[in-house]
Amino acid sequence: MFSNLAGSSTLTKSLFLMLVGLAGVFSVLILFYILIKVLLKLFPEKGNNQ
Amino acid sequence: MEEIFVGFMNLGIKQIIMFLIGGILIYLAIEKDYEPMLLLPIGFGTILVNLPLSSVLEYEGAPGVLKILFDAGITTELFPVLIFVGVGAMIDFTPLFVNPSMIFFGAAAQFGIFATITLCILLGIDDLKLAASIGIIGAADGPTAIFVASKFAREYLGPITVAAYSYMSLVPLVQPPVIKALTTKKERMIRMDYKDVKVSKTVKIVFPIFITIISGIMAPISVPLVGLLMFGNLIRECGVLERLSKAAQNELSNIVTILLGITIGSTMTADAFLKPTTLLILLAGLAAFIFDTAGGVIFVKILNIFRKNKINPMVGAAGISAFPMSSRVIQRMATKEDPTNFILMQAVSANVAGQLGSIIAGGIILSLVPLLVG
Repeated sequence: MFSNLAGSSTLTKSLFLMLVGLAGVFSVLILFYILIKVLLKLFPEKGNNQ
Repeated sequence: MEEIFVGFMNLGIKQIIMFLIGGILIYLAIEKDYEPMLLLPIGFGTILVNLPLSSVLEYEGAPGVLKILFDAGITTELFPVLIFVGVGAMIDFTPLFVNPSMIFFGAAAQFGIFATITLCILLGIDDLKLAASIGIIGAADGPTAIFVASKFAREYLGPITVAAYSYMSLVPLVQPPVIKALTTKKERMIRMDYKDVKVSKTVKIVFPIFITIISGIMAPISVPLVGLLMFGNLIRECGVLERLSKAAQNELSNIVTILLGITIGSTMTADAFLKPTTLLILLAGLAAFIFDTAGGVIFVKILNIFRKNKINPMVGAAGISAFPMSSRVIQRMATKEDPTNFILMQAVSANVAGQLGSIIAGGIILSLVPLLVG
């Protein structure tokens, strides 16, 4: 994937970085979201109504 | 006779300008309370390093004290990484566990980092590594900015750090006009429900361990950042290391902050600082904070199109890492519109998510940029 960008302009690379970077941040934080949800289900605090 | 006045003989206009810049940083730290823990040591370091024939960098061919500190703490990335242990010990993730959906605002508000990288390229910086080091100012997270800049643009570490910490302290001035420009009064008055959910100790202990594993697998280069942040958090949450937790929050953080600040000041030599690029860094840093705020607000507004229970768009702006300043700014704005509207807890949740989002963004940039540059 990155070899295709080897001859591209710096602007193209920066736009690619924006696209993939933001997608990456969202992907990792979605995983964290799922992790939090799973942990809260697995280890509920006594006294919570969930 | 000349030897006695050797200092005067080697004093130039550039050094005097740098003394003034150092003085301004010290003034901002003391009088304006702008991140004094970093700006004061940086300001004093700026004066030290610009003294004629200053021996703090080199003396008779041997490295001086600040050069030794730089090589030991910045070149090796030790100082910013140690700061993360202290930051981790200070972070309470509970607000995020109570409002997990706020985590997405911590991602959206990283838009400023990537938009600023592109902006820098458009403004003529044809070096993706330098542009990325400037863009990371938008992480609103000093140690992450230092970590990335020390890898990609060490010669601009000084101005990048000064810009990062200055704009973090200017969040109360930067964010409100951007938020107001992008939202209506009605939107700013949106109320949000808050559920007080208790979180078990097990969740708080397991969370940092799993986050480290996931981040390490997704972006291995982010391990020093995320790993040590989560190590600090584990010390805090485990419940059996209170002394270490307090030491990480206080002694460790304070000692490393002193060394980090004055060492970064040592990079502020006249030749390195007095360049057009420095001005660009300062302006682009401001743009990064504006884009961050806009990214968070616009993301919430897009979500609201599809949601029945609307979210106050101002909460999206709290998705930056500047904690707790950003969430306080949002609550202040909400109270101004409606004194009975309390969205502080939601804003704090987004703010904590921003702390995670910024280091993940930093890790992704560290992974991707070398691949793109080739």
